[in-house]
Amino acid sequence: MIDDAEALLEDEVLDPLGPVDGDDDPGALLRPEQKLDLSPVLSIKPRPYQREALARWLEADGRGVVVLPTGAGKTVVAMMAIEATAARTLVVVPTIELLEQWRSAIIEKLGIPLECVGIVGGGQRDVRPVTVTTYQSAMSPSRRYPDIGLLIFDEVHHLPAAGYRSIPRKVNGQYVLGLSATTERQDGRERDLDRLVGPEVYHKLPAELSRDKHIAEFVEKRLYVDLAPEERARYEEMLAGYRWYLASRRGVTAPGPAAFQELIRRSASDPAARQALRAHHQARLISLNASAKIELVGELLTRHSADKVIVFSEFNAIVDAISRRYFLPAITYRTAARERRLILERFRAGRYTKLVTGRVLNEGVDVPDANVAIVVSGSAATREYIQRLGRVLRPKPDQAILYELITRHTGESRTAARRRPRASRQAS
Amino acid sequence: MPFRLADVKKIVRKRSDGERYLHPQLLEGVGALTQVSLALAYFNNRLGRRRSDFDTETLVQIFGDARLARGVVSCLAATYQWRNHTFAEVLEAQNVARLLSRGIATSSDLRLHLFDAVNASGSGFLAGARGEALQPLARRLRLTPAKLDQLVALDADENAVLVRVREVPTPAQIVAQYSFAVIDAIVRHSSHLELRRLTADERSILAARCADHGVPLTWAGTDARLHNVADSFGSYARTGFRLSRSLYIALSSAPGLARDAAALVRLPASHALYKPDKTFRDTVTGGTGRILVAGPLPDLRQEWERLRAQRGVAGWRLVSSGEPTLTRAGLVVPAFSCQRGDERVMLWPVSNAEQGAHLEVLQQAGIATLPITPGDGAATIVAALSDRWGGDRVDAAGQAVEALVGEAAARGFIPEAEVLSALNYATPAEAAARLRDLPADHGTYIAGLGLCSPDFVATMRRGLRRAQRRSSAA
Repeated sequence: MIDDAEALLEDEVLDPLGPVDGDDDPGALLRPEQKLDLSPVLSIKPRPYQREALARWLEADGRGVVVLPTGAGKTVVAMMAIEATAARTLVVVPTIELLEQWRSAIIEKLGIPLECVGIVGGGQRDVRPVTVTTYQSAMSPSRRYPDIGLLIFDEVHHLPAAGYRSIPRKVNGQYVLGLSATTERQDGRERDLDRLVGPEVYHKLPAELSRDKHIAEFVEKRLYVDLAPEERARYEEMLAGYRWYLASRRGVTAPGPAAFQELIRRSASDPAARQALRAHHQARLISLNASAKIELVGELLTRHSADKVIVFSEFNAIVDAISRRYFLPAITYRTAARERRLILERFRAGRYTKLVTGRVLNEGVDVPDANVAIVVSGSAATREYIQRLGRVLRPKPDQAILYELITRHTGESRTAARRRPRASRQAS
Repeated sequence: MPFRLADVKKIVRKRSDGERYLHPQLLEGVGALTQVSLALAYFNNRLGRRRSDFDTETLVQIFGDARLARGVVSCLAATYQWRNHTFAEVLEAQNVARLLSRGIATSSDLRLHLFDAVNASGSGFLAGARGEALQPLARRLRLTPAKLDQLVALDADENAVLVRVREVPTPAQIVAQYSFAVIDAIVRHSSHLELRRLTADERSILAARCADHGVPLTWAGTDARLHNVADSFGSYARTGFRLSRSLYIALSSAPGLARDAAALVRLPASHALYKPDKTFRDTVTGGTGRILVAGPLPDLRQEWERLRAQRGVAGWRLVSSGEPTLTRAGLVVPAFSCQRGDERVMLWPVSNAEQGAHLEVLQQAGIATLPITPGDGAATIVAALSDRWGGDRVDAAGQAVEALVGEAAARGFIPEAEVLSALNYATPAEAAARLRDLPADHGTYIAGLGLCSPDFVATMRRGLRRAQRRSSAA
């Protein structure tokens, strides 16, 4: 009698979503209109950690975030989720470049026919049983995605942004999978992912996968440079101007981001605030773009003349300067589509062995693998650091190297420290 | 380019009725005209100069306010634009032809060619001293290293030069455009717009225009409320263009529509009411009182796309629901317009006498307008556009010389290094070749020295003669 009551409780109360035997088949929880009319079959053999990630996600009722380093095959986990649920799927990606890349992967890896995979975004509006779209398109009030069973967010750290957070509610998929190399955001809103997608169900660190040879072994090296005397003098002058303003104005003297925002607000009408803001910006430019760094890049390129090297900079002006100084192919947001495509193709084919880029290749672009990354300058964001590290992590026989170039005795040392300790914890 | 609400200079005051009211700060009075004249002079003086030589802080200082400066710059953007030089503008014809024979027509082609060369011959980068390393590459293309350097970065943003693509506007026109843009921004950013005490005719006109543009409309007796829709970010600007467009079109046939109106404007942390005053119609029509609305045109977009895929459209781009534009002829609301490079042409249907009269007004005001008769398809339009607007690029080099001559007249003398920089020449020889034939009343270029104004040359001559006389006397 008691057994019957417990069974009843379990069936009717604890698991109102469906019968117990449906738990082994995620597709059983879907409404008929949410199911695919075909059975996708993954054509590649997943790695153990990818299987583990899927299992954890399914255990969490098919809602949650999987965090894997770049190069570890997050896309494969998504394909496994489509195979396991056999659900009508919406994949949301951050850039137009990724639309076609995801569609090809779905067709090739899951054997889903071309006519069943649609794209919405970049001028196309083709909703199919499996659809790939951009965050921008998905949030548009005019877009409707009925009967979606599985909702996948690539680079899910974008989702907590003000405009995008309405997407999960709007699409209302039975299953939701978020993928990222690191969910950390500078505004701290990664906490909202728990509510928007689900908990972090699986997290592998680069070092763990590197130990098991799933991604490349890597080493991170910090190299310090000094400002040239004239740069140092200018840096101190600019910093003094900025500090003088803060010290001499009530209301903006409290340190921290709020003070800086107040300074920005005041700069619209107060010439002195504008000057202080410019001084701060100039000082930052001087420290991040010290001339010694450009020379050091040359030395590193010489040291790694036989390697494939990607140089990263925070500033497009420095990308251009390095490109002109060493005739390195450069990719920034301004690079025309054709030139960008040809450079990436030739780098992938090994015809080019060096590349310099800005933030544009941090994520959302299928960047060919390299074995050396040189970060000339970067922000304090851990995410950016991990993304750049990820560009050298695809499995390879040799050790990958990431160099960080830092200017001594400037604000950059603090910036690097802010991004690095947390990154080090993740990497070690 | 519509203004952002954040760029609109405004005051918000609470009145005795407890409501907060928004008062836009327009450019007004002789002082404003003087400020705009100074801004125009600065732009004209910078013609042909690189973007990196353009100091936006100067404009902020002229207006004393960053938002006012940004607004005026936005109004001037229809006249002054940044444009990169082509190879043909900085190279002699035989050099252009030689590069073309190697498949190099643009800076992008040249860079890819050089990356190929560097990767084929070495370790993927240019090691050693740059100047020396550059020489063999330049020699292979029969260019000087300096010229090669210039060509490689010719399409960079910072090397874009300022050009004037239209006639210089008067300060009064810019002031009128600024005022229109401010009011337009407020209407676009409103969550709703109320128009009160409307007559029966006005109500039916308004209802029809709102239905045309998909603007939700509700009624309370004779009062109408036009609703805007916020996007996911909470901004009303994205759909606000429909609201403003239907208002302007309705105003064209019901001029008294906004006599008692109020718009609720969402501000970052609050909201405020904007009540258009009696100058509203004058402001949105630039003082002309005239609103010219293009008649209905069949939707050309699909036919245009088909033609583009099959035969091409000669680089023209079709823009539907073009932005309402304040012109000398009044406020113009186009249905379609076409753009190619610096050219923007409004398509104007002329199926009745009134539309024909509007076309005449527009053409007299010098506005590029193409008359469209019933039955004109995309192919006819493209042919007519290419026939009348041949795609001649603005003579950026000519404008640069003109600006330099003006500067030389003011300063007397401009050193050679500045002349080279202003005209984007890599070598003094190029400057000498270009300025050799400068009319004497414009100035004289002395190789190795610089550009001299006629007065400066006369002063130098007098000085030299005096010196000669003194030395012969001695």
